[in-house]
Amino acid sequence: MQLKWWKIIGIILVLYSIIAGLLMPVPKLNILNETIRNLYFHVTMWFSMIVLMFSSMKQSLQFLNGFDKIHDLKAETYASTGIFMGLLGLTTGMIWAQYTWGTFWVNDPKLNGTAVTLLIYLAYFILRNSIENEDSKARVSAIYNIIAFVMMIVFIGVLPRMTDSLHPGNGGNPAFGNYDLDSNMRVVFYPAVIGWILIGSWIAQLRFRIKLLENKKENI
Amino acid sequence: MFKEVKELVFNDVRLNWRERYALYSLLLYVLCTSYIAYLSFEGIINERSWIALFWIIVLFAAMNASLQSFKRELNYQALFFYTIARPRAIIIAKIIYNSGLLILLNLLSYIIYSTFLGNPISNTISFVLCIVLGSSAIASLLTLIAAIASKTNNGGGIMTILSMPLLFPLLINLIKTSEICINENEFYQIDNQILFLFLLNIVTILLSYLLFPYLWRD
Repeated sequence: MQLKWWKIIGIILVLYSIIAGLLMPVPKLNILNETIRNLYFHVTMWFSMIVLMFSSMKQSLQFLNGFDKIHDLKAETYASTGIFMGLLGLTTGMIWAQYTWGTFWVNDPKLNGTAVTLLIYLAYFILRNSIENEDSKARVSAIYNIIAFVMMIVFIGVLPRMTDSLHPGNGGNPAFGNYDLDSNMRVVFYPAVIGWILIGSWIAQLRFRIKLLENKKENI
Repeated sequence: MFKEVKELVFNDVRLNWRERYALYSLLLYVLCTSYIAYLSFEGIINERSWIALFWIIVLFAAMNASLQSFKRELNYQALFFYTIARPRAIIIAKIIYNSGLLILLNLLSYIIYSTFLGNPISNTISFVLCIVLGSSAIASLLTLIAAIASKTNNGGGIMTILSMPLLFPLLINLIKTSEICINENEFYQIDNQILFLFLLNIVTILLSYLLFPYLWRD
């Protein structure tokens, strides 16, 4: 049993972000107060989700480029891990919203975008399960996956920028990048992003291996 | 390519004109829902509800219209089409036909709906532009989804599940634009929204153009 170097880096970075994220000094801001530390755990999930969804789309493209079933399986596991990360991001965000905005859910373009993204990818799994023929299942879901990713980028990347949002960086609210995210926070935030992306890919890889073993077992 | 698309569009128009009752059923649907809305609101409706109800009626009419678009092809004409036409020409023709149909249908819906429930829109030209672009965006997205759904065992149910989340942000954008059309008279206030609708059209058509050949091959 040996660990690849990037897994070790992932573990170290996430551990570092948890310890340093809870201990390092943060800027004192009204309303946010100490909850600003949630930034290390909330925003990083979204980065991880986007990267996983991107990998999923890449696998789908590769599948269409040669119809190798392995890529389809990889696309599925990346997407399901991406949904998992998205749900974690949603949960951390809802808890944060309860403390800063006063409710778990607000009618905010970013929240709507997230809800839509999760619905789109849940529909992807329903689509997968509703086709019996293995070949056309892989192909149709690969096509839908590509559409889903492009639409997701449009909805969470473009739409929130056109309307007001409670999130920082939109509708006159300052972005974290402007002055809230001072150098102390950057030292923790960026490693945390990389760490969670690596951990997310690791989870996806493990899931993929389990799926592969299950498939083998079924075929015997 | 252009000639092929033109032929296919004409073919679609001809075939669907032969089965006019399907088109009439769409019109009847709009008429019925508008009348139900009129009865339930007793003619008095606030602006927000007016907009929301209008786009919901439009959405379901569009759903019904697009659901039929791949029925014929995938049953008995599929092999024939596969031999004579390029898949890209087929999807582009379908998108053009469905967009045209929906634009006409939705403009008619606007007229029917506003006869029953009044017309609060002050900036009609912008609203019509919004209907045209919105209809074609809905149509192109739904055509692609209908093509995907036709590959599954239960086309209708899957179609709703797949298209609802994809259409949801588009609908929110359309409702926002319509709200601006009620309150403002200048065009420049909605140019951002119109640009977004236009871009969404382009993105969807591009996706269909690139991906449909893989879907068609069976």
